[in-house]
Formats: sequence, structure tokens, C-alpha cells
Amino acid sequence: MLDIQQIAKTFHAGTPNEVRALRGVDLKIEPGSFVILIGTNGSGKSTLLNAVAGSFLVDTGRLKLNGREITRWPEHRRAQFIGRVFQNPFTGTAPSMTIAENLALAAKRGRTRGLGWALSSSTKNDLRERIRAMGLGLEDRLDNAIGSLSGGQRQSLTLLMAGLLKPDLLLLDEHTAALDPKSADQVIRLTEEFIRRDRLTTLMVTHSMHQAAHLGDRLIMMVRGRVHHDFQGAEKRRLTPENLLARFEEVRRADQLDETAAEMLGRQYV
Amino acid sequence: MQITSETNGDLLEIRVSGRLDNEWAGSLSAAIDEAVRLGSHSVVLDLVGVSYISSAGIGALVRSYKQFQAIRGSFAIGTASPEVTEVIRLTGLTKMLLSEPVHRRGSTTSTHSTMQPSFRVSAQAGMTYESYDVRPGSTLTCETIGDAAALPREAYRAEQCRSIEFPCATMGLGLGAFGRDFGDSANRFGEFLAVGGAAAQQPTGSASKPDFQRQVGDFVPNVQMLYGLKCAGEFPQLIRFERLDDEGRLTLSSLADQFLTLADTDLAAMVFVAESAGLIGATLQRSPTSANEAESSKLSHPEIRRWLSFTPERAFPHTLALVVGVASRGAPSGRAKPLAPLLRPLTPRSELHGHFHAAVFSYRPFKKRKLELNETVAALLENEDLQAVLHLLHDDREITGGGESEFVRGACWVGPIANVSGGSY
Repeated sequence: MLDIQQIAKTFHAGTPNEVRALRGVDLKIEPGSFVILIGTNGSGKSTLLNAVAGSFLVDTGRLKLNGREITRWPEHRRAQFIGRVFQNPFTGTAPSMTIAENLALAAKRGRTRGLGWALSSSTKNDLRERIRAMGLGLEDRLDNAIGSLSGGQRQSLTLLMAGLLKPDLLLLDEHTAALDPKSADQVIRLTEEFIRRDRLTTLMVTHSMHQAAHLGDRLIMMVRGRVHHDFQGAEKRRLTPENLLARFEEVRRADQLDETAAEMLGRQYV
Repeated sequence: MQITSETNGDLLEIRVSGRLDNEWAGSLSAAIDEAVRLGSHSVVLDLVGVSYISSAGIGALVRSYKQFQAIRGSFAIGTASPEVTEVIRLTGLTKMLLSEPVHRRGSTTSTHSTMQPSFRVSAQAGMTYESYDVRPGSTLTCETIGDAAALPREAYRAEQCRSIEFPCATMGLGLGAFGRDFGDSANRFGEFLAVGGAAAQQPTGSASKPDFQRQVGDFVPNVQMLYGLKCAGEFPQLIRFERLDDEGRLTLSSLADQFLTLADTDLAAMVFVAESAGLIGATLQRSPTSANEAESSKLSHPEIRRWLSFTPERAFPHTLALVVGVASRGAPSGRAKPLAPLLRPLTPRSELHGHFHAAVFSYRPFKKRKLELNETVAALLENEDLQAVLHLLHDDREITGGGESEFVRGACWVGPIANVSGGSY
């Protein structure tokens, strides 16, 4: 279980560029749940993901993953329990290495890597089967350099690699945003498959209202560094992209309700 | 394919050439829909240039025909190529589509108006108003309910709530909810309006979809009311209004002003159904059965953000709005005094005061000439596509203000208020 307790993060504190990216976020994520994070630009959703991954240390608050206190852990130490897929398909894989080599690295993620054979033949066969199951026709191209693959193929492989060791937590940061619609659909289909099969605890950031409404069993809407709304259970299942847009519209309207508007409304509203 | 159109008085002639197949049927339907939206009630098609018509094309024609039937307009093919004539004959649609169009050029207005307007005015450039005496001499009575002034600071309690019925021949607006009693409605009080045997309400709290009630058999719409007003009686006058060009601006205040003038009164109840060019308004976000946590007013910044939502720019364009309200020339005084807490100036420094709520529906064309109020309201609710209920107001802030609600065309029932009572719970 991921337990986020009152975490806050301010970038460039004390300068004119100060950004209070997270302003006290409290969140408990049950094992096996698939949580979608949405929010407007600058709402803190990606910052939250990065705080969990350890890209920076939080100013205040605590982070616990399956009972381990990881608040002060550096990123690479958290990586043995956390799998990540980024928005840019070129992040997360080594382009000049082959598919097989990349997978071998992924299989040893978070452990010491010696000079022994990276992949036993049985592991390699197992991997080949899993790649075949993805239906991308890459099973016969294990020795091709990853750099020769399309964005969608690379993102599918990154996903496979991130989930390979059944991490305690999978973080997806707008991992389909840079793909064409068809590839994005394919990657989303694989995402659902992997998460369901291994019951991966997942936190996924997306900008797509469609994905937000249709994926996951819980949805967190962030506004200005805080959890604005937490949709769970039946409320989550009933959500449509239109409902979500309406929620964002409410937030936008509230933002526009400044002092002059308040004065006008106070004068006229009965 | 080519589609061109030409207006001739009330008649719109649409000329089509090329193939009217599935590829193009949609474009023709869109052109006809647009014509209806712009107010045409008679369309004649010229299909002389059409070399081929498929079933999709026939389907589009039949759909349009039905659409015009529904608004009591006329739709027919004036002239057609031999190919088209043959297909229409074979499909057995000659009588429906090819018969002599009812409205020929020049005689378009006489056949479908059942009543001539008592007078017609061009109030200002770009706008027309037509007035019909539907029940000459009728007036309405008005009763105010509850304490509107308590909203900013107090939490409403059960003893301040009244259960009010809104049968036909009544209208009302204010803050209320649908429910058995106060307790049942406590978390849902919000804006409502009632007219023509129907009521619509915007709930606060977790539900965001507006709800409605309609008079059916012995069931009469019933609202648990915190405050507001209820008028009873028949409207003597029906006024059709329309913006003729972009110069004409049918704002809420200009309409209210004109309706008061045409009704020859200083205090009137009015209900209008109109195509919206954008509405400016506010809705309550939380039920006022609790007080503000801070000691300050619910309507002060920043607390107001949690209590009210408003439209920073015009919302709901190209929708149909059912607007219910009361307007007064000058702040209510004398016999109208009980209305004072409920009315506000419609424009800054104006003598015109009012209180208007609007229910928003998806756009559909409505009938020409004389309309019947209850029937019109019932037709609006039939499609169950009520989108919102809001309190209309004038965002009169300089530069950033969104301005007033505006309309394109519509019909208003208006009647003088002869007697005002109230101030009681």
C-alpha cells in the first residue's frame, strides 16, 4: 500500500519564481488499485508522481510504501519497488541496445548487475512469449536496437519492462500523450492487461478525459497542489468524460470569481 | 453538389443541383436545419438541377418534412427534374413532397396565422415586436414568500420553509427544492422556477443535474420554498419578438423594458421562451441550510467561491431558455413594497428592477404566431433535456464583466400585477 501523508513541495522557495506545487496531499492507495490522476496544467499531478518516485525529496510530509518509510530514500533506491513509464517514448529505454538487452537490464533493475549472462535461455523464452502476447510482432526482433522501433512499440516495451518485476507500485506519467491515437489505444489496452493480470498497484497521470473516465477504479482530481475530488466506487464507475469536463469548468469558474465578481454578485444575487 | 438559398419574404427557397445521395443528404439536412434555426417556417425546394436522388436523399426530405410539420410550417418541393419526380412517384411520396406547396410566393402569411397581432412595433433598429391580446383585461396577483435577506448570513431552518403548489395559471421563482418536507430537501435547496403547470429546479450538493416536475392528472408540482414569489392568474398578452440583424440587441433589460411598455404597466409578471444568444447568471452551489463557517457573509470573497457559481462569460448560446420573472419600473414601493427584497436593478443606475430565473433546454424551433403557454412549457419538458436552472443577472463590471443575457427571438407572456401580498412565512 502507498501511504502519502501531508506532503508539500515548494520549488524556488523565496524567489519570485516560487511555485507551491504540492500543498499538503494526503492519499492512501490500497494494494491492487488502479488510480487515475487528472488536473489542469500546474495542478501538481506530475509533481505528485515525481515525489513518490523520488525525483526530489519533499519539504514536509511522509511517504510509505508497503510499510517501508521511503520519504528520504533517493530515486534509485525506490526504483527496486517502483516501475515507471514516462510521456516521452525515448525515456526509459537505452536506444542503442537491443530489445533483449534492454529487457535484461530491466530484469535486474534495482539489483546489483554483475558480468554474468544477463538472461538465461528459459527467461529469454519466457520474455519472447510475453512479447508475442503483446501482439506487436516484436518477438522475432529481439536483437534489433530499440532505437529502430516506433514510439508506440517503444512505449509498449517500456511498459512491459516497468511491470516485469511486478513492482509494488507502477507509475505512468501521461505515457500515451506523445503517441498517435492508434498507438495510444494499443498502449492503453496493454496497460489495462498488464495491470489486471498482475494486480499492479498503479498511479496513472493523464490529460485524456476519455481515459480518465473509462480506466481505473479510482480517480483523483487535483487543483492547485491539493486533492480537489476523490472519485471512488460507484461514483467513479458512473463518471463520463462530460462529467469530468463539467467539474473542470466549475473549477475554472471558481477561479474567475475574484473580488470584483464577488462585489457584483453580492449586489445582485437574491 | 451545390446548395444555394434565397429568402423571399417569409419563404425560403433552397436550390440544389448535382447528386442527392448519402454523401450529400447530410449537407442538405444541415442547410434546412439552419434555415429553421434562423426562423424560416416555409421552405420550397428547387430540385431541377438534381440528376439523381438516392434513398438517403429521400430520407432527408421526409425528415425535414416532418420537422416542418412539427412546427406547423410548410415544406415542399416546388420544381424537380424528371428523375427526381419519378423516384418520388415510385416511392409513393408524391402527395407528401410534391403536392402544390401551400404557401406560394406573396401569400405566405395569410394561411397559417390564426390571429392577427393587435399591433406590431419596430421598437428600435434591428428588432420587431408583435403583440397579441390573448385574454384581454386579465391581471395577476403576486405573493412573496420567506425572507430573502437572510441568505448571506443565516442558515435556513425548517420553520422558514413552506410547501407551495404551482398548478397551471401560476408562476413562481426563488430558492426551493423538490421533496416531502424541509428535512428531505435540506441538502438540495437551489434556484427554481415554475410556470404553466411545471417546475424546474437546480439542486445544490452532490446532484448537479437539474430536476423537474410536471402537472399530470391530479399531480400538481410542489416546491419546498425557502423564499421567492408566486404569481397567480392568466396572462392577457403574448408578445413575439425577434432580432432582425446583428445591430439589434435583445438584452434581458431591453426586453423587460419593452414588455412593460407593451403591457402598459409599471409592474408585470413575465414568462418568455427564447433562443439564447448567451446567458449570464449564477447558481447556488451549496444548500443555504448551513451558515458560513467563517462569521462573514456567504456572498463575500473568498467564501463566495464555495457558495455561488457564476458564468464569467456568456454561457448556453444556441439553447432555448424558459425565463420566468417579475419586472418593475422603479424600485418597488407602495402596493408593490413586499417585492422590494426580491428585486434588483437590471442595469446599473437604471430605474428598471427585476428578478429572473431561466431554465435552459437544447435548442429546437418553436411554432409560429400564436402559442399556448401550458402547451409550450409541456413541449419543452417532453424531451427531458433540461440543462440548467440559473438566476440571471447583469455582470456590469467594467472591462471584465460579461454583460447581460441576450436573446435572438422568442415569445413572451406578460401581465400586469394588480395586487401584491406577502412578507409572511
